Amino acid sequence: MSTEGSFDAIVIGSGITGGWAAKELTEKGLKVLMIERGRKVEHRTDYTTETLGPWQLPFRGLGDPQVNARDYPARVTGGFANEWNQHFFAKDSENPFQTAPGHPFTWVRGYQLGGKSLIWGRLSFRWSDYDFDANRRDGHGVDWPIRYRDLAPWYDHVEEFVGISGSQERLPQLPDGKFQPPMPLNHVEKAFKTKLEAQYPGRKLIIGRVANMTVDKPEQGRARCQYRNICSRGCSYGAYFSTLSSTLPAAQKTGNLTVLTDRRVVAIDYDPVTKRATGVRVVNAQGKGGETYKAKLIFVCAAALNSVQLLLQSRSESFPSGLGNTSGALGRGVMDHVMGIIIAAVPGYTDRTYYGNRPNGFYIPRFRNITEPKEGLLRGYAFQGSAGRPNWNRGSSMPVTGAALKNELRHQGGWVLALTPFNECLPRDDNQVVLDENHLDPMGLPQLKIDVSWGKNELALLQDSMAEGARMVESFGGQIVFKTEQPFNQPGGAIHEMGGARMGHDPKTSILNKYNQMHDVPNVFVTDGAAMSSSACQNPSLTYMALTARACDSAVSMLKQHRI
Amino acid sequence: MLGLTAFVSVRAIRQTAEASETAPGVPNAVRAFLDAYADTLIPDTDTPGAKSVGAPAFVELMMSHTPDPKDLAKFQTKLDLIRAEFDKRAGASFAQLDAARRAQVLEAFDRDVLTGKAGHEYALEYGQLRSVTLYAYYTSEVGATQELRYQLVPGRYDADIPFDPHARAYSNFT
Repeated sequence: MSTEGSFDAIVIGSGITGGWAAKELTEKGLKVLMIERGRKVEHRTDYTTETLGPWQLPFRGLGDPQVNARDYPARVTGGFANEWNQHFFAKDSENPFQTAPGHPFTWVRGYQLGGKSLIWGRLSFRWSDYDFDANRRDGHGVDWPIRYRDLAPWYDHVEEFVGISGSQERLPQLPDGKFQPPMPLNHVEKAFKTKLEAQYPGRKLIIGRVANMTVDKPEQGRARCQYRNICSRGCSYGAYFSTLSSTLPAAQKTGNLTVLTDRRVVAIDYDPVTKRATGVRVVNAQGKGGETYKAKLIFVCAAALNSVQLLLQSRSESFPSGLGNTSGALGRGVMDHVMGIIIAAVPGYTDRTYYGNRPNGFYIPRFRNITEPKEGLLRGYAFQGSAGRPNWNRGSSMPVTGAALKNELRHQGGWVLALTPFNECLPRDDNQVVLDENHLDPMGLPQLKIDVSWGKNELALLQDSMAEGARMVESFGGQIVFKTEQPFNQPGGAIHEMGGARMGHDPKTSILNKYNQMHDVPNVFVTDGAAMSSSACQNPSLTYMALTARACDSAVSMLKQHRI
Repeated sequence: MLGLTAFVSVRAIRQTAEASETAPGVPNAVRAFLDAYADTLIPDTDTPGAKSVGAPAFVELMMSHTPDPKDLAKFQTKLDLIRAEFDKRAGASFAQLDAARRAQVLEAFDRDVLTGKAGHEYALEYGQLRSVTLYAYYTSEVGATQELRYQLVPGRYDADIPFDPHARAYSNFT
């Protein structure tokens, strides 16, 4: 054991929130150490598959089925990864976890510099007070200690830097932001929008708000989207927001950042005399080392469940069940979004098409219990979707052969419309993660045991959203060719896992206060998905970013006033 | 989202996949069938077809990398049934027929099996064989860039333009 250095702040994790914490803190003059458990990845240089055609990959993009089955069962379940991007997904085989009997969980992780910001879905929606007030209103979970007005300036702040394209819509449930010009809807999407909005005055169809730019940001060395839709290979244009393209270079430019990769933080140390965290202990990939780094401030940004795991692991006499866990709430209230899929053939419109691969789709913002209440259902859902004309991959089930098949597949097929509802998940204390002392990981640390299942309300929302989705598609003339009858994803499979170290007013029932600051340990801030007190139905990353920037501002003010 | 239609079939491919170029004991008769099948499904025309671009080798690769040997054994059994049905319809070895006759046999087979009129016991595996063969062709360099067009960097999104029925599709557009 040795002490390797002392910093103003340590940021644990380098993903979406770790990158933001590093940027904000270094720009405010703090000397910051960012610690990433995975390998170093260089922007551009390490996007090794970015320009490869499928014929240049041994398995043509599918990946070796044996490797997939052995190393990436969560990946295969989730269906998000492929041979082009699998090196940005952590292997389940090397990073085991436990689940409760009958409660399978998909835990998709990205252990490298940049974390999951390299492979995220990039949809970026603000939350509204329908969301921040939801727990108080219906009594599920604990009341959020913040409201939209607290976060609004921080949404502005992060959106302007990230570069989010989108349209201004004046929807109370989906506040507008500082957007770049929107990407366009295609012909059939526009037709669907017209029909839908005429039929349902309380519903809107808008283009997705996405962290893919439509305008260059030369000051960041980033160019606008080239419409390749291969984002998760890494984008040398820097057209989508990631730690590597955006926040990390900004933090490095200050000269205040030190980055340590291939080091996993195994505990946050606590001093019962000062009642402050003093620093962190790290090990290398083999579980060896044990160096200590000291800092005045600790930002925990390791990804929701990893952050909770680290806090659970940080046990001391003062906190025998995990750092800052006098409430017993640590690990409780884990959520995700439950999804379904509807695919429909849309007859007609065959004289129109599009050019390019738009890395974005349309969005039907929440109407359930906003403009259209429904008895017996809490909260709501939103739909993501897109229309397009399938190519050769439609040929497998087409009863045409030989030269005729070849000729047919030389042209795009008819239009297809896909709709995916994302349903809000209630915060429930029995959806919980704990340490499993009986199952150690390859580093000798307890594995995380995840016990999360869909509850009644989620499943009722899913049923309602699938019925509404089918009705919307069929009223438009779509013929449904595929429709999930069960949840499409296991919990975790939307990769919107969140909660476990929730924010709240009351130290007896929550882990963090309104500044993402631990009630029990004032110099520790948790600003990733772990902090979420409810799940809303919007994609959550933008809110994590805004919370992080706000927490950094609060933390530095407190530090300057010697309050922490 | 549109990738989902592909994803559904790709997932089926992943879960089964199929017998091997390197593993000993891949019978010559199986290889001859896969060759003849690929050549009939996507023949050489003004561009090379599936056999010419090596699609059968990719089918064999996927077979040889099936994670569970039991799944592979099951697939091989079903593939034997499929081969037998082709030979029966051919009245001889399907692989030995001339191209025109093979085309007739395949057309009739697909008409029956893909529409559910016959072959229930191997319809799933046949669908996988057909999907993987097509996948192998259209992800080959010839299939992706000569038979169809390939544009890695479109540079823009034209959201609503006229459809040109004479222009070839882009193999990498979704």
